[in-house]
Amino acid sequence: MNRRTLIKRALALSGLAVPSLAGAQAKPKVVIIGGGFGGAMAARRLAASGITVTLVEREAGVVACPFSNTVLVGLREIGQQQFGFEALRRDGITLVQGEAVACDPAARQIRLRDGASLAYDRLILSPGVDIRLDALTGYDAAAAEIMPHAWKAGPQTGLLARQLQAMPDGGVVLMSIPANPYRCPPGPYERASLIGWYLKTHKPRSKLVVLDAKDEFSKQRLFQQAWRALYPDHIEWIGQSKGGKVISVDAGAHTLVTDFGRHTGAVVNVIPPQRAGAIATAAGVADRSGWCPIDPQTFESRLQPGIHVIGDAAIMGAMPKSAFAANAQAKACARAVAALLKGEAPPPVKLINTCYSLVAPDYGISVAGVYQPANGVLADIAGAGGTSPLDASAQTRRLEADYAASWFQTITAESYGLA
Amino acid sequence: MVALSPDIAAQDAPAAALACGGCHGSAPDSAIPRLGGQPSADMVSAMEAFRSGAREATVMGRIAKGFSDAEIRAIADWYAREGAK
Repeated sequence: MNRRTLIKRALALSGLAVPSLAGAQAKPKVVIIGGGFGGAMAARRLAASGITVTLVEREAGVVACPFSNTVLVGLREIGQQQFGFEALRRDGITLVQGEAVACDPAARQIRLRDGASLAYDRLILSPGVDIRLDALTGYDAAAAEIMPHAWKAGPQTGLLARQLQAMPDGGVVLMSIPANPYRCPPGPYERASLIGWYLKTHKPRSKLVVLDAKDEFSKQRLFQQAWRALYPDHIEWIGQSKGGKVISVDAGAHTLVTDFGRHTGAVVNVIPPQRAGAIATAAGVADRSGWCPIDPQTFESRLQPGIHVIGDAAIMGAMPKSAFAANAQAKACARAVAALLKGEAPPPVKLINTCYSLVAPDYGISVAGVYQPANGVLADIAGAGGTSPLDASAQTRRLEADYAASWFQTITAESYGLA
Repeated sequence: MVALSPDIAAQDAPAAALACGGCHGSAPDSAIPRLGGQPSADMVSAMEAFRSGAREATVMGRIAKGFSDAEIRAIADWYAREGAK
């Protein structure tokens, strides 16, 4: 099933996607913006506790980012990344396809681009990230059609996949990686690994050059160990101190510019700087950094009462911006919101994050952490967490690749229903 | 449709048990074991062995170190109870 048929099917099912008024006086109303792993999970949990939930999402379905790097290199079909909202409708959640553009926190109302307004008792924003098209000179919407970011799964994923496939053997692939923070800290390095695998397998005279605005990154020793062992001729990583920070792009010339020189590639993947989805700024919950400060016990904004922010858009302390984290925060946030609506104290919060990365199709590595609120942020629990060991066996690497696939199955079933 | 998984139905779960559900789902063919319905004592001893390193693991050793005895017992009791329903 391709994306078009998925959207058509979902649209057909959403013919009556207007907010239900039945029982509105009796039951508290929560509006959730964003149908990703945070928003969908929060919606399902709140609906299960008898709260009237409206979920606003721009698209008729979602295209999941985790595992989308495998789509780029032909290991997986984009259809396996697509999920609709049928299970959410069965839960009694009202789906509204639209874009939230403004919020009046005093009146507790959110306004959509089509002019409709939705009233809420509490609002949960799970808007994910927006690509900052103003932050890297020359990288605008038109440039993204030439040098895809593919950092939101969907058409951009397909574009980069086709470019890689069409590239002649011997072509150079370039990748630009931003400074922190951005969605999925190890994601660019998983992508580099899988492109390395693809080149080694299908285009052995080609090479990937990675230009990084950082000198240190997530699971660095594990990635670099694997690159030396598996892809010594196919991946070259250039960190910030060696001139890796890209300061501008020339899309027409397929060129990335650093302080140290110019790099030209046959295929150029620019992972640009990011910020919280635009509704966060419109609602007044993003600070000058572009991200949203929250209370770690309730995920309520520190800037606007009654508005909670979860997932990539929020400043979560030690917890990374990942689908796993968004899903975990959604469950905790749903409990906090349900308690607050009943006038009860929010329950304790304890969260886990586990992020798997594939270095090759059968070679997985992970980083895990356990978190709880401390000093106003979600803090690491000392002594817990960490990465896979450097000296693991091939069998362990394979096991972690299997667990990655099982985790994806679990999180998608929880958020969108069983496939 | 299918019955809700114990995790989805749970509003009364201890905070720490909520976190387990990120990986441990209810799909029968998953490489990651289902927790609902496991005897409480088995889960406690498994977590203790993960935490001490006595039991070999990929991520569970790293995760178990973040949980106290009391938290482990509460998680194990809750999953045993929920799975039996």
